[in-house]
Amino acid sequence: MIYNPAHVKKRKIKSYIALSLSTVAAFLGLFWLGFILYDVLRHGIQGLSLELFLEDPAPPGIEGGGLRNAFVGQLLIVFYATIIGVPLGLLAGIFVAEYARGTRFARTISILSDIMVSVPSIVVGTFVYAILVKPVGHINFGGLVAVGFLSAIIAVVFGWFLSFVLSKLFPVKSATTGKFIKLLTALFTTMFGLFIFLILYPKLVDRIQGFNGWAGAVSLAFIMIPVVLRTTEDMLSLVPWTLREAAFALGASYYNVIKDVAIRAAITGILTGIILSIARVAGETAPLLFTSFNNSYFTLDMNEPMASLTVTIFNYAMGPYEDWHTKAWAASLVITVFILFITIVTRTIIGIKYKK
Amino acid sequence: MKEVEKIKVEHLYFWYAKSKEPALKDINMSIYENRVTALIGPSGCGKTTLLRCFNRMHDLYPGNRYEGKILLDGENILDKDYDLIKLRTKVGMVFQKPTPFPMSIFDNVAYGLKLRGITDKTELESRVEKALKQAALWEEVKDRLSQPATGLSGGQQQRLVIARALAVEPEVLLFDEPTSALDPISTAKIEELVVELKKSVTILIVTHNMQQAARVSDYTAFMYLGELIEFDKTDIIFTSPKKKLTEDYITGKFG
Repeated sequence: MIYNPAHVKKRKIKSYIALSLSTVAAFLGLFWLGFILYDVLRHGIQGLSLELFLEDPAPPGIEGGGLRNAFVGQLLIVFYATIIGVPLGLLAGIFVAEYARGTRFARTISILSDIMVSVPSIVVGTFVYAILVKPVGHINFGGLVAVGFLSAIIAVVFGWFLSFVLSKLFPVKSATTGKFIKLLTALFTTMFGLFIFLILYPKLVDRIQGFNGWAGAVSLAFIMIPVVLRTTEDMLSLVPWTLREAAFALGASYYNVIKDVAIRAAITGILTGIILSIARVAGETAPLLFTSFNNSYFTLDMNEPMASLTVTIFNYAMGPYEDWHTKAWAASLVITVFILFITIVTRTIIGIKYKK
Repeated sequence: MKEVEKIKVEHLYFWYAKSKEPALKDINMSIYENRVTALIGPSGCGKTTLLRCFNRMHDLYPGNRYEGKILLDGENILDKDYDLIKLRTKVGMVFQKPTPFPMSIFDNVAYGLKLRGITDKTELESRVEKALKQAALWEEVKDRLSQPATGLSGGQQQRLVIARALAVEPEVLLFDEPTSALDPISTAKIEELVVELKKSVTILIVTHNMQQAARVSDYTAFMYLGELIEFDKTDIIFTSPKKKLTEDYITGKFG
């Protein structure tokens, strides 16, 4: 037996030191996190009241009022950002992981998305300011892009639905009917997109002057797209290839394989990515500072400047009134709890999935 | 016993993408209807590659190339115009590891039927039941058809996958080492099943296990380095092979 008590002792000491150091580091990290949460809770809870959610801000310097405009604005902006960002990120992720798998093009998109994820969010804000805030109301180029973008998304969703309905109505019997249905879908989708564009354009663009809620939603969407794209891609590439081969061997088309097998197998991970991307943008201030800007009044009109919690916190915390500070703390508490809630829900979903 | 030729392989060559050396060289053989044909040989000899030619699984990966002919009922399935969906309806496949889809037991078996446009609920139910009975799984799962298929044991999953392949009534069934991930009891069940199934389908099975080939097959093809060395009735291959190489492999001198 080779046993050297002195050596074993040395090893135990080393192990003990490593354990202590990592424990201290962990607690140091947790301490600040707990400190921040405690501070937000302590200050924020004083400002919490029903009026905070139900009333609009009082004029500067006057006590009272609430932040209804900011809560509603935040929800609206995040809602539209999700509607724009998630389908695009999802479809792009599917494209990269499935249809374009292994190609140089797919790798390029992947790398660019990674870069996009780490781009400072204020850069995204500046970019959207340049395309959707500054030009609107003058030459309308930005508005053109924005409405085009929106119509395209609506049309793609419509086209997807249409192809689904058509495939149910006319089960594909030969390659010719298949091609015919594809052509028909493409034609209708394009026409539908143009139609939407023509309806939306005069309604939206001519009325937008400068800062607007859409711009805020689009900047948040730009932050979401690469996050959703990368998680979708990663989750799909974790699905074993033999599973797809098995579906192909049953005579499934690639679309069927993706829809029925790959996405189903990866759905928990993909949903997690989507929810986390919502949590990620819900706390962003920089992209909203000069896109949706701020609004002291309540509005549901995305064409107007729109208040958001994060920008309100920024303004109120910098403001000269004690009442504003209390409200900023309360708003911080609400948004922190909101994000915490989303994250915990997501973790629970993952937990349930892996317990099975 | 009269033998009917179901598939005829003529001068088949196969190249993987970016490879100059063919993975299959001049394969000529016949697969007989309602018989089990086993493909044996050492690792890397091309038996799985050959098996995957019969449903053109290689087409999933760009750059792979065939030459020669595989005649299924007299039609060349390697023809560019041959409809892959038709081919994969005629020729089903069971893989090495069980591949249940992330859906319920019922939906797994019904999947291939739904792909073929069968939507009538009673028809689906009767076909699923028939397939599960054929795969000797019905008794074990009939009370939990709506539960996820991933909850089944490995052996049950493999029989589920067989049921899924059988549901669309294929004429040929390809097995790629179907028991290599299973315990002996599940293996025995699958082997029984293979013997039972040949009444209705033509079966090709790749196996590493020579006893298995001897137990289940009527014909055996011995492959080595991408070439078909010997093809004959199983008892001939295992008792009096004509080639020295075959004999050496069968008796365990290499492999």
